[in-house]
Amino acid sequence: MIKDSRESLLLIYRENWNGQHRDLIICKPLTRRQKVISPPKPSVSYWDAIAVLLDGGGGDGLEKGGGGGGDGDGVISMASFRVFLCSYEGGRINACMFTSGSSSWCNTSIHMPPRLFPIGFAAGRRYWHDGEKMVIALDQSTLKFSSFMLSDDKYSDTSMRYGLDMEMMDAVVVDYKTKAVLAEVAIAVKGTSPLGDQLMEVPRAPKSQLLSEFNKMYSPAMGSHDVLLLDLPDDILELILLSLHSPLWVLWAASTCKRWRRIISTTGFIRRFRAIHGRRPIVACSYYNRHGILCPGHPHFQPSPYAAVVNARHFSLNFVPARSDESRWTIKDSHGSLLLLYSEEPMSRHRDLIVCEPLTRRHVVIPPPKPLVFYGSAIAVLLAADDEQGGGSSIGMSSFRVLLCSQEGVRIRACMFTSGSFYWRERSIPMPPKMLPIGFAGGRRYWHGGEKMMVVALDQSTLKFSSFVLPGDNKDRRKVSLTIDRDGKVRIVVDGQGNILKIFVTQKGGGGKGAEEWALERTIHVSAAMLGLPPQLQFFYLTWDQPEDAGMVVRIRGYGGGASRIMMRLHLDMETMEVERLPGRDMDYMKVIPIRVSMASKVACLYQ
Amino acid sequence: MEVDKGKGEAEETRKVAEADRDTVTLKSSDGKLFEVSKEAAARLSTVLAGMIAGGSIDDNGTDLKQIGSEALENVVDYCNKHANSIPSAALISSSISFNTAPFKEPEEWERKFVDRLSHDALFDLVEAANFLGMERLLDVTCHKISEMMKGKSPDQIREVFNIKNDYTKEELEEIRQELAWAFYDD
Repeated sequence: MIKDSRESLLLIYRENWNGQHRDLIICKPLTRRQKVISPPKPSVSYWDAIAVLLDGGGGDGLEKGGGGGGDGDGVISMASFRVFLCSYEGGRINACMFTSGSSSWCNTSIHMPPRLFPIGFAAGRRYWHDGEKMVIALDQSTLKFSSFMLSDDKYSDTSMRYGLDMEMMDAVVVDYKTKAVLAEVAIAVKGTSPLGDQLMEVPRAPKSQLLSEFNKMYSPAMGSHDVLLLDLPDDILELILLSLHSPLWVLWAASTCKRWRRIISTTGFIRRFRAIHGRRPIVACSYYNRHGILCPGHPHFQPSPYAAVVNARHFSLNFVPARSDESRWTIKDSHGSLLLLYSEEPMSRHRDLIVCEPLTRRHVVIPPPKPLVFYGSAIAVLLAADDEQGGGSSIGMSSFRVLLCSQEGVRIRACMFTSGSFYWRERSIPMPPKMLPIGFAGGRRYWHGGEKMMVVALDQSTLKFSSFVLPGDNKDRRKVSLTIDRDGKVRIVVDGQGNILKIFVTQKGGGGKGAEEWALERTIHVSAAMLGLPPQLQFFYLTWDQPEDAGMVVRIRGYGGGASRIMMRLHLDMETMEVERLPGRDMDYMKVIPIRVSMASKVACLYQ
Repeated sequence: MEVDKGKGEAEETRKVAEADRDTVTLKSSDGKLFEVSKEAAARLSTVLAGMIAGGSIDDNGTDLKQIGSEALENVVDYCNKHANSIPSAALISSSISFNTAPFKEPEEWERKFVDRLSHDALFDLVEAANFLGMERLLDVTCHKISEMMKGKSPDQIREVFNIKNDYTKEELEEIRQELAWAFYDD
């Protein structure tokens, strides 16, 4: 079982049920090295102990580091590490530390109160409390215990518990019956006295004013000269609201009192908010298509918990007209707050394509292109209606475009419908038979096909096709995918025989409008050793996932030989060659279609 | 003390040295006197810059009747810390560019600076920064306050800031219902 990890090291243990055999091992999977750590005396059940892997302690060990906390600047490696173990046994908290290179553990312990609850770990210290006033802290780096009492009676109510804010190093007193935060106190290091660190409780004026009830109950005299937030002038309140990162929080602030709502509804506020934070939309709701003939009807939707303030009925699709009981709508794409849906009846020639906006319960029927396109098998994309470049303009019911790409015979056909018009703009390009889609990157959609690896690219915005042939012999390619590096440059990755990835990139200055030139940038030989895997793993495939990272990324799936069939997903950053194991299986889950909504100018009308 | 840091940059050393020689005395509403580097004051506060340029600085203490001694002490502290915390030219250029890119995240020391303040002191400092036209300090303090609001429900925000709920139940329900529209973007 893994207890902890730090950088490239893992701390693992095994233990049989009666505790007779216990091993604690530190290992580095990449180099396949391991070291058994001799057990401390008396032995500790690793299973319920807190075990933490720490760096080597920056030079000369434990005794030195005063205020260093756990995060010294020391390096961590197989030759320089420390293991911290902490357990409760025999009425004491035992803490011990093993330093690499030594053969024994360094022990300390402290008498512990009859009841003890862990609070957590923050700023190099681990905290416990006894449910009342007492708090025990242990410095992980120096193994120094401190205990102190929360001085004030007001925290002694046993119905409260403490929590630690990891960043702020606060103890938070919570009444868990009402789940209200009653008070927050900062625990600060009093300074480095010769006796060592002393902790003290610093009541935080701002936060201890948290609950008005709390103040009434315990300290009526608190805050003698109340400076209220609302004493501040409007323009400052506006500055504060502008500093909030999420529109959601702004809206919550607006529901606090009328003054804030008024500030938010001033005309410039939303423009300024956007100028600062951009139009950072949030996923308000996700839709997914129901598969299977047996469940006709509309696609399902799942409101995002993040937008819980929004009534779920706003995302219902029940306003979309149904032609018959048989027909069902399938979502093809989403963009911003819009959805692209189609319905096709296999028997009749009836096909419908609509764009709708669940929030406003509006929909537009898109006339079919001529000749007809099978919506089900075509690529259908919802785009913003922009005039010049790919980004920037917003999408709405009155400004959108629909792109349909279909393969018909020996041509790829692309049709574009712009909102407000009545016809489709069309382009097509001849193609070799059996063209396969690669994917979409950098505003273009790619296909590949043919023995010589012809690639067709379609600029989604301008509807311009280009085609080119990738150099070299790519006949035995297994999978082709696209990556986008950190500068937004698109590369085509061809997964060939022998676990060799070929990476192609456009040639710069390839003559402006002429044919595109792509050249082999480099090849990567994917091997088990390179991925830090045991050598019996031999087969690697690019998965069907499109890399969504900004980085240059492929995912690789390996199978182990023999009976033990290992499947794992690895994430290989081809720029840095860093490998990361991904959790979970590479399953074809139901495609989730998000609806992203951003803060509106409508808020202004709303808050008047 | 921090002069060492800037040693590489002759420009910086010169500035700091100049600032050491040249200070301005400020007087709080309750008559306490504070000294602050003239260079930092002029750079960080548009109001003080105007007073320095306009010669309306009183050697016996320029009266700032709107600012209490506690807040003024924090202002002066901030100015001095700011003057000392410029280790490189990179930071100077970023402090210039913050006009075009407001809400640059507070730096570590600025965070610590506002974190140790009490509620009251923080609000007082916001007011003082506003009065003195100290844009950066205003941003940092407002950022701190907004951080206290983040992720909190309306009820919690009211509790933290002692705000009275002046909505009726119906109005709140109306807002809740209508919030969906607020997300709508056309």
